[in-house]
Amino acid sequence: MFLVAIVFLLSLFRLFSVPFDNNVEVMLPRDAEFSRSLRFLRESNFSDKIVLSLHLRGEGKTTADLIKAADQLKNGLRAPLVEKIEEGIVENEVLDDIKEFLAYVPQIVTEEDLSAVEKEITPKNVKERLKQGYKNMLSMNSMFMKYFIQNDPLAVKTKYLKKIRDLAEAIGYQAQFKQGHFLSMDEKNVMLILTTPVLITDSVGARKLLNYISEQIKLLPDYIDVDTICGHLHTMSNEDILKKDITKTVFAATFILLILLILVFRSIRAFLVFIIPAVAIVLSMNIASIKMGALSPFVVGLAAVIAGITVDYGIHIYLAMQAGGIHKVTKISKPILVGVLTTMGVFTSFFFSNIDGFKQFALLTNLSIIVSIFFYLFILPRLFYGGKEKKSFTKKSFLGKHHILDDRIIVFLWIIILGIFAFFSQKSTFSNDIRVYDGSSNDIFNTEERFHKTWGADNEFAMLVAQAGNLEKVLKVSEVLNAQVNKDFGNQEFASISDIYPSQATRAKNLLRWDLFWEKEHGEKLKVLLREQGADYGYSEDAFKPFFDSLHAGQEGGVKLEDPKLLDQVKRRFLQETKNGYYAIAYFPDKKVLVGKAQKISSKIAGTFIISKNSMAKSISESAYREVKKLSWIAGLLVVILTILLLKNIRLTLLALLPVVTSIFMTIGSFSLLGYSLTAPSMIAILVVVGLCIDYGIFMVYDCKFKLEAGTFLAVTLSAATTIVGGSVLLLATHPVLFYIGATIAIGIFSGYLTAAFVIPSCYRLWIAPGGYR
Amino acid sequence: MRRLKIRVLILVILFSLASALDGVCEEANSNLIKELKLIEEKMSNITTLSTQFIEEKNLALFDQKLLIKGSLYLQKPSSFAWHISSPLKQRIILRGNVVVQWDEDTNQVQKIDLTSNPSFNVITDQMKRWVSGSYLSLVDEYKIEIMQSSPIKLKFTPFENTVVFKVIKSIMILFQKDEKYIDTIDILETSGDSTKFQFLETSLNLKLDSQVWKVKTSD
Repeated sequence: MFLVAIVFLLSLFRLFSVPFDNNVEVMLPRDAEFSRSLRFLRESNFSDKIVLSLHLRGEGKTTADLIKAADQLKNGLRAPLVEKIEEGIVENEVLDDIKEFLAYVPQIVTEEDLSAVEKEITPKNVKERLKQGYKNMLSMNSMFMKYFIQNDPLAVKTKYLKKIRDLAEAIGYQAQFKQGHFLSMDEKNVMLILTTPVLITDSVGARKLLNYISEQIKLLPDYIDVDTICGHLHTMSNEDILKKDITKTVFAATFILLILLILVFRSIRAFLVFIIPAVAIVLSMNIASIKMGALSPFVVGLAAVIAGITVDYGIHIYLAMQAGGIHKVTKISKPILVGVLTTMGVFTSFFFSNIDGFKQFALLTNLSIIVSIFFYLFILPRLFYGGKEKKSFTKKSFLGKHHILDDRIIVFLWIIILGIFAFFSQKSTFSNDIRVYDGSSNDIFNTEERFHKTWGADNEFAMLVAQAGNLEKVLKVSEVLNAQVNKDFGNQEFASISDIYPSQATRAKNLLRWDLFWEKEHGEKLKVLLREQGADYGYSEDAFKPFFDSLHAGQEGGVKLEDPKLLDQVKRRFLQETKNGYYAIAYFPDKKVLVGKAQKISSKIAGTFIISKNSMAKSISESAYREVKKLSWIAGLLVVILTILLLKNIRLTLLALLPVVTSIFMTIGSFSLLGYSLTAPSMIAILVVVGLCIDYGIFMVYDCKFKLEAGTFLAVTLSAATTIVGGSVLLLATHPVLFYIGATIAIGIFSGYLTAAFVIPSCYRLWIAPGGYR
Repeated sequence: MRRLKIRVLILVILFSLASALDGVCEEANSNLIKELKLIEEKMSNITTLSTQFIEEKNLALFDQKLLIKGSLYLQKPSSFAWHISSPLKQRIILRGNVVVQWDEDTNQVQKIDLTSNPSFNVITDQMKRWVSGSYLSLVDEYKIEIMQSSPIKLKFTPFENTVVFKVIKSIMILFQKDEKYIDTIDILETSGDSTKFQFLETSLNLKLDSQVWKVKTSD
C-alpha cells in the first residue's frame, strides 16, 4: 500500500510536467492529402503572421494621429517575439520602383505579346497612341504620365503594371499606401502585419507573445483601438476554455458522485471506490505520456468520462462485497472480467485508427481500466472487509413473480421507441465543419468578422500549389501549371505569379526574343512612325528617345537576372521558401467548380496540389467518417466475438447486445431530432457508449442466468448513473468537442441502461426462461 | 589656465549663438504657421469658387509650349470641376473618391476610382489643397517658405519622404493683389519641365450653375 501511495504521489507530481499538444491535428485523420495540406500550412508562412488593425476613434483626430500611433506600436515591437513587420511600399521610392520594373518587363514579354505589338506598329495605331498621350498631357496628372509616354509609347510594358495590381487585389485587402503604411480606404484604420517565430501550436509561447503585444497596445493613446488577428489567439482561447471546462466538469462530477455516494452507500468508506479511477487516470496519464509523448488536452478533457467508465467495476465489486463479501466478489468477477475485456476490446479498436487522439484516448482508457480493476479486485476487498460478510443489497431475482403482460408491454414499448429513433437516425447528417474542433471565444470570431468588414477580405481562396526543391524549379512548374490553366479555362479567376515572374530560363529566353524583335525592322519602323505621326501633335524629335535607349538595356544572357523591387510584396504572397525548398502558390476562389477543375489540372502535373479550405473540410469529414466506420466495424466485431466467446451462448449474446443496438439508434436518432449533426467526436463517443452498454448487457444477462444476488441491478443503475453524470457534466462544457461527447454519452448511456435494466430481464423471461411466470 | 578660459568663452559664445539661431528658427516657424493660418482663415470663407485659368506647360516632350485654357470650379467640402475649353474640350468632375472624365474627341465618359489610381489620386489631392488654400495640412509634406509678403508668395519644396519628391522640385503660389485668391501657381518639375497656372476672373461665394457639375457639355 505504501508503495502504491508513493507511486501515486510521484505520478501526481510528474503530472505537472506532462507535455500537452494543443494542435488540433491530433484529433484529425491523417490521410496523405490531408497531411500534405497540413504540412504546407505549417511550412509556409501563413501561420506565423499576426495582423494588427489599428482603428482611429473619436472626433478631431486625423490620419496623421493614426499613423503616428501605428509608428509608435511598430517601434515598440521587437525581436525575439516579433521578427519582422511588413510595411507598405515606401512612397517616395514608388516611381523609381516602377521605372525599375518597366526596365525588367522585356524579360517577361511573351511571344504572343510581341505578336500583338507587331500588329500595333501601324500608322493608324501609332497615331491613336500618340493622341492619347497628348490628351494625357493636357490632364492634371501629366507630370506622372509623361514618363510612361516617353518610355512606353505603345503601352507594351505598362500593362504588366496592371497585372501586379490585379495580383495584389486578387488576394489582398482593400488598402491604400500612405507614408509607408497599409491604410483602409476611409483612412480610419492602419494594418500592421507581424512575423513571429512563435509556432501557432505553442501555447506557452503564444501567451507570452500576445501578452507582449497587449502591453505595447496599452501604451497607445486612448483614441486608438486595436484588433488582433492570428491563429495564436485560437490556440490560447481553446486551451483556456478546455482548462475551464476540465475544472468545471471535474468539480461537477466529483460533487454529484459524492452526493450519490452519501445517498446510496451511506458510507464514507465507499469514497475509495470513487477515488480509485482518479488515481488510475493520474497513473495512466504518466504512462501514456511516456509512451506517446505530448497528450492532447481534448483527450485529457475526457478524464471525467474515463472515470465514469472505470468506476462501474468498483461499484459492482463494492455492492458484491456488501452482499456477500469475498465470496460474492469471486462470483461476479467473471462478468466483470467479461465486461472489462469487451470494453477494452472497443477501445483496442481505436488503435487501428489513423487519428492520434483516438490512440491516446484508447491507451489512456485501457490503462485506467487495468489499473482500476487491479485496485478494485485485489486491494479494495482486503482493505475494508477482510472477507467478512456485510449487509446485503441483493435484489429479488428477476425470474418469477412477474406477470407476462408486464414483460410484453415493456418489450412492445421498447420496439416502438426503437423503431421511432431508428427512423429518425436515418435522417441524421454528418457535419464536415472543421470549426467544430475550434472552441475559441466568440470575441475572437467577432473581431475577425469586424476585421474582414474593415479590410474587405471577404473572399475565401483556394490555392493551386507547385512544390520543388529550389526557386528556379518551382517557377518552372508554376509556369507549366499556369499555361495549363490558361489553356483549359482561361485564367480570369486564377492569380498566378508566373505571368510577371517566370523562371530565369524563361526570362532569359524572353529577353533574347525582345532584343531580336526590336533589332529587326520593328525598332526602326516604330521610330519613323512616331516621328511622322507625332509631328501632328507637336511631339519633339527626342520625345521617345528614352524608349529606344531602353530597348537593349537588358542584361546579357548567362548573367543572373535581377528581380525588381516592385515585385517584393507580390512575391511574399505567391512564393514561400521552406527548409525543403519552395512553394509557388496560385490563388483562386474556393468554389466547388473551380476546385474540381484545378484538381484535374493538378493531377496531370507532378509536384502540384490543391489546398482548399472547403475541400479540405470535406476530405477531413470523409476521412473521419471512413475512419469511424472502420472502427465501428472493428469494435462491433470485437464486441460480438468477445461476448460470444465469453458467454458461450448465442441467445444470451443477442440479449447482451440489446443495450448496444438501442443506444446507437437512440443517440443518432436524438441528434437528428435535436437538429445536431453527427461529428467525428460524437461518433467516437458512440463507440465508448457501445463499450459501456455491452457491460450492462453482460451483467444483466449474467444476473438473469446465474442469479448472482450480488446487487447487480443496483450496481448497473449506479454505474449508468455515474457515467451519465460523467457525460452530463460535459454538457456544461463550452468547447464543442466536449459538449458533443457529453451529449452522446448522456443519451447513449441512458437509453442503454434502460434497455439493460428493463428490456433484457423481460426478454430473458419471455424468450429464454418462460416458465418462471406467475 | 588662459587657454581654458578661451575655450570656455568660445563654448559660451557657440551656445549663445545656437540658442539665438534656434530662437530665430522658432520665430520664423511660428510666423509661417501664423501666416498659413491667416490664409486658411481667409480661404475658409470661400464656399464656392469659379475661376478661369490659363495653363502653360513647358514640356521636353513637345517642341512647343502647351497652352491650355479652361475654368475651375470648387464647392466645399469636396466637389471639384476642371473644364478645359482649348485645345481640346475636356471635363473632369471630382466627387469624393470618384473622378468622372469626358473629352470631346472620344465623347466617352470615363469613371476613375481614385483608390485604384494612386497617381491621379495624389495629383488631384494636391491640386485640391493648392487651390483651396489648405496649406497647413501640407506642412508635413513640404518645406514652406514665405517669399514675399505683399501680395503673399509661398514656395513649397517637397520633403524627401513624400511621393512627389521625385517629380516636383518646387511650387510657387502667388496671391492676387487683394490677397482674396491665388493669382498664379508655378510648378517646377525635377525633370526641368514646368507648368504655370494663371487664374483670371475669379468669383468667390457665388452660386454655381448646376451645369458646371455635368460631365458632358451636351448634358
